[in-house]
Amino acid sequence: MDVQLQPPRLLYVDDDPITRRIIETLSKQSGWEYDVVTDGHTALARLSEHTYDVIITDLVMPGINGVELVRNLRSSSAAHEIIIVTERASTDEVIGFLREGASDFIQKPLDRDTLENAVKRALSGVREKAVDKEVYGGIVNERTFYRFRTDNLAKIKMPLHVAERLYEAGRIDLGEKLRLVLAFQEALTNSIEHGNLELLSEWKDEVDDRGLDKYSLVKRERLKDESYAARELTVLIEVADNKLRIVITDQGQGFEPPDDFKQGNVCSLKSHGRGLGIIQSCMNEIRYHDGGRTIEMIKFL
Amino acid sequence: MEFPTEIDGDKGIITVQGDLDSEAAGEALRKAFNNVYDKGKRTVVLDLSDVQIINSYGIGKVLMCYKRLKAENGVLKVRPLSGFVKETFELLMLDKLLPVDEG
Repeated sequence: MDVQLQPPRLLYVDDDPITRRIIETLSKQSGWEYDVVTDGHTALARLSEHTYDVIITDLVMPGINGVELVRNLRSSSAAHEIIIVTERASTDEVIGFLREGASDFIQKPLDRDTLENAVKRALSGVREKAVDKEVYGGIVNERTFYRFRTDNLAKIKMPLHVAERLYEAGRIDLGEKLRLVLAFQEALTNSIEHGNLELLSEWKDEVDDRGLDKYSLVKRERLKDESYAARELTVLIEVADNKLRIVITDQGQGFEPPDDFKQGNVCSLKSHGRGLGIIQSCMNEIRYHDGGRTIEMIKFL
Repeated sequence: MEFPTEIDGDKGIITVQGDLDSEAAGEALRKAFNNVYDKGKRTVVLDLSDVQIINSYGIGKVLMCYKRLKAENGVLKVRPLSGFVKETFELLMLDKLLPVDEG
């Protein structure tokens, strides 16, 4: 979308004639370009032919319901905002819609002001993303270095903001973004748990009759033990030369990748190895340094 | 965090909600599994249709359920998978291990 010149383009998906009348009146008065369809299948077909900035969809429709439609919409990489419209939904359901990728939620019966404000918020979001895409697309190099205590890092799920920026800039697709984030989380977990906390993978198989495993129990103990909890972890995230490079270093005893991993085979049934398999499937290059205390992962952009 | 369970004949069905990538989610799965296991069900079905992300931790918890059932000649099944979860299962060859329950 040209942030300055083109009128916004909206797609309304609703089979209720009263709602459609409100939508059409508002769109005409606001100068928005719009299309109206009455079911999810037609909406998806229309989206394969045209681009829209905002999609407003009812949840309850014949054929594909609104939640499935949102999932389908979000799995495409088009940069649009999605507004859900419905008569009633519980808090959990609303959270579910937002998790699936909807950016806003409006309750019926629809009134003009509520709809207008929601669409304006969505259009503002579209404009911000367009600017972000231009900015992030221009990144030549970027470098961030972090240092953490083990217990502090173990409490949080560290986000990989650069993956979001690269996705918004169109340099990676949604699948690559998800895999990058997963690989990063796996590598961090390995460094925290097998590196600094020295947890053994075999302990995951030592399970009592209530399903509690030794690995989880020892992990909790060592996170309270200063001799483990205070160990540091550093993370370097760098974009340069059309590569994303992530380097994680721990203060553990070191690590020797299993032969299966070195040969490119993924371990499936063993408790250990699956994390490495996931990392391997996401990254173009993986190297270990410093006796296995440092993992360097590279993704070509 | 709790995952809903239901009994359908000889099957115990667990609906996993949200991502399966954290200790909280793993603990919720363990409790839900114990719930149906304690009711004598040795065919357990995992519904992962709401899961977008599963990491090695979550897979480990799924396999723990598999092993407990296998030890008693039981079976762990999954409802049809899609998206990223399906990719991850195929990558780690878990699709060969866990049959699909069509429901």
